[in-house]
Amino acid sequence: MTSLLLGWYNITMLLMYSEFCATPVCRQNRYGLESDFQARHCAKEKWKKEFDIMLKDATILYVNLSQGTITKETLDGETYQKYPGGSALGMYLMLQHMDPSVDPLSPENMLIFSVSPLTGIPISGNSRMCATFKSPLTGTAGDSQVGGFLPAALAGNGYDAVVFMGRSEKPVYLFIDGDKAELKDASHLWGMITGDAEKAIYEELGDDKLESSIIGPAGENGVKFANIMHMRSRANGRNGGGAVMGSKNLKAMVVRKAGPKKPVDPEGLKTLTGNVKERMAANEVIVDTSLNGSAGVVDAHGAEGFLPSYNWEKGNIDGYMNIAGTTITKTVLKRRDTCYACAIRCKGEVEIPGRVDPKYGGPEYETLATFGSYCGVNDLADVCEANMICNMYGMDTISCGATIAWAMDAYEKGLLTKEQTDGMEFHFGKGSLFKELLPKIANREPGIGALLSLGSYEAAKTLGPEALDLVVTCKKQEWPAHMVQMKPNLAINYAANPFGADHQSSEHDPALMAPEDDQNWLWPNMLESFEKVSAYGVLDDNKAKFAGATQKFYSMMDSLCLCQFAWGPAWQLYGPLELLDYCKYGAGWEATLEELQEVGERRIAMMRMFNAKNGFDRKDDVLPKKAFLPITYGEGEVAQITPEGYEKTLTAYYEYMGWDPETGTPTPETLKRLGLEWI
Amino acid sequence: MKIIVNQKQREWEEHQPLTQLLQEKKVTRAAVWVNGKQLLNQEIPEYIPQEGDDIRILRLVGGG
Repeated sequence: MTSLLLGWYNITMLLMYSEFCATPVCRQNRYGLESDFQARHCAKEKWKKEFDIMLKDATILYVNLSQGTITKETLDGETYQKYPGGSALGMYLMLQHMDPSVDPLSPENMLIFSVSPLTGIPISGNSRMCATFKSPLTGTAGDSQVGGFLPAALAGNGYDAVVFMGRSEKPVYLFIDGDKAELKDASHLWGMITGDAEKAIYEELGDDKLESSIIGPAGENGVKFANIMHMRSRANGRNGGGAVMGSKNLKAMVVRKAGPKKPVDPEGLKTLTGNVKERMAANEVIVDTSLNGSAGVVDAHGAEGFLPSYNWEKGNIDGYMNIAGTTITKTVLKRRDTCYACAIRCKGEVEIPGRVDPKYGGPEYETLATFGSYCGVNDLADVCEANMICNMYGMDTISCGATIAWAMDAYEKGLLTKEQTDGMEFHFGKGSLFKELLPKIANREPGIGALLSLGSYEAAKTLGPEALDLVVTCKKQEWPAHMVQMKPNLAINYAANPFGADHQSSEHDPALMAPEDDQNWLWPNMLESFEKVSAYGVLDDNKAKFAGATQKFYSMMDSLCLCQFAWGPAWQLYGPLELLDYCKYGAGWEATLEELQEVGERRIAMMRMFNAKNGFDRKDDVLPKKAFLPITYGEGEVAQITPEGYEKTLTAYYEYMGWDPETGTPTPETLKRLGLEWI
Repeated sequence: MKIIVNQKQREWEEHQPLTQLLQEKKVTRAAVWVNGKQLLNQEIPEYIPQEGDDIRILRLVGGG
C-alpha cells in the first residue's frame, strides 16, 4: 500500500509539472510513467528566468571580540542571491575578510554562524544553522550544521549571520535580543559542562525564552574535534568548531526566541505543508525515521553486513541488534523530540536511571556505530553513556568514537601500550572505559587524554607508520559510518570533500539501485541522467557524476540551511521540485534547479580555492588503506573497491566538476562561470 | 522448488510470495531483480517466485 501511495505521489507530481510544458519532447519509460527527463525539462520551462534579484538584503552582525565592538551591516540582495546563506555565505565572508593561511586557533580565524532567507518559515526541516571557520582538525575550510530551535530564533531576530572575529581578553558570551546585542561576562561559566552553563545563563538572564549555542570544556581546552552544542543534544559537530570558539574565549551565543518568519506566499506554502501527514505516511524511510530516528540505520546496515566494525576491519559485529534503533525504541527511549516546526521528530531522548540523563538526548546512528561497532562494543548502556558525556563536554561523537576505535586497534596490535593508556586496557569491546576516558580527552589530561584529543591522525603520527596505517580518515577527518564497499560514491566524497570525510555531502549509492517507480530513482534523475546500478562495490564514471551532481545539491542545502532528512534528492520528505516551490513561496525567489545547483557548486569551489591557498591539492584527496579491504556481506558475497578504480573515478569526478585533473583545483573557466574570479 | 537468491540456491515453497522472502531477510526497502529484470515497487507485493528464478535482492539504505 505504501509503495502504491508513493508511486501515486510521484506520478501526480510529474503530471502536475507537465502541464506547464508545451513541448512534447519527453520520453516515456516502459511502464508508461512520465520520465525523470520530463520532470526536469518541465521544471526548467516552468521556472526559466533571467537572473533577477529576488532576495532581500542580508543583515549581518560583526562581533570583534578583541575590541569588544558589535556592528550591524547589510549585504546587498544581489550578492546574497549568489551566496544565499549557510555555508556559501560563510565561505564568501571568510574569503572576503580573512587570510586563508591563518592558524585555526588564532584570533585571526573567523567563526561565522549563518542561516538563510528560508530559515524560520514554519515547515519541516528548515531550522538549521551553519558554523563556518578554518578547521583545527583538518587545516581546511570547515563547516558544520546544527538543527533545533536556535536557527529559527536567530532568523526571527532579524539576522542572517553573526561573524565573530578576534579574541576576547576574558571569557564572554553574546546575547542577542532583537536589535540589542551585547557581550556579557562568562568568567563564571568557564569550565562548566554544557547543561550547567545553559542553566546558569538562563537563570542570570531571567527567563528561559532563549536559545543558545554553547561550548563545553573540550572547546575551552582546544580538543581538535570539540563541537558547539545546542539544547545539550544538537551539535555543530564536525571540524572542531568548538575549539575555535574556545580559542576566542567565547563560551556561548544566546538568542531570544522569536515568532515564525512569515513566508512571502502563505497560501502557496500550504501546498507543501497542508498534506504533510500523507506525505510522511507514503515515505517508508520517513516513517522509520519518525519511529527510530537515524538509529534505524543500524538495523539495516547490521543486517546486510555493512556496519563498520572493529575500526573498519569488518562489516559486522555479533549482537548488533543490542544497539539497533528498534531496540532503543523498545527499551531506553523516553520520548521522541523534534526541531522547530518539523513533523518528522527524528531526535530521541534516552534514559537509563543512574547512568544516562535524557536531557542530553540520545545516540544517533553515527554515535551508535562509532562508540558501538567501531569499538567492538554492543552494550547499549555504554554507548548511550558515551553519547551523554560527549554532549556534556562538547565533543563530536564521530571523531571521538572513531579515534578511540583506532586506539583500540593500535592497542590490540601492540602499537599502543598500557603505559601510554594510563593503565587502561584498550581491548575492542571494552565500552566500560568510555566513562573514565572521555573526561580525560575533554580536559586534555597528560597521557592518553591529551594524545586522543588530537584526533586519530595526529595521534597516530606520534606512534609511527604502522599506527598511521590503521587510521581511517580523509584530510584527518574521521570517517562517518557508511562503508565505501557498499556505497562507493562516498569514496569520492569522503576524499574530495573540502573538509574530508562526510556522509552528508552527497546522496548515497543505493538511490541508483531503486526501481523506476521509486522517488529514490526519480529525484536524483532530475539533476542528471544516471545509469541503473545492480550491485554494491561499483565505482565508475556514472558514480563520479552521481557524486558530483548530488554533492552540488547537498552543498546547496547546506547553504540554504535545510535539514537533509527533510529535504533532498532521493529518500527525503521533500524533493528538488518542492524545493523550487519552497524558494518561491518562502522567499519570493523563483529559482531554477540549475541556479540552485550552481549555488552548491559555487560553495564547493570556494572551499577548494580556500584549501588550495593552504597547499591542498589532489595529493590530499586520498583514501586510507582500509578503504580497499574486501568486505563480506549478506550470505557470503564480497564487495570491494580498488585503488585503480578509485583514481580513475576521481579524475572523472574532477572533470565533471570543472576542476584541473592534475591538481583538483577549479579551473579559471569554472571560476569565471561561477562568478568567482575575485578569489 | 528451487530458486536462487543472491547467488545461493535454496528451497522455496510454491505460491509463497516474494514479500515473505523479504520479511525473512528483514528487508523493508529493497531493489529486486528477477532473472535480470528489475521489479517495480508496485510489482514486488504481487510477485510469486517461480521454479529456477534467479533473484537478486539489494537493500536500499540512505544516509543518516
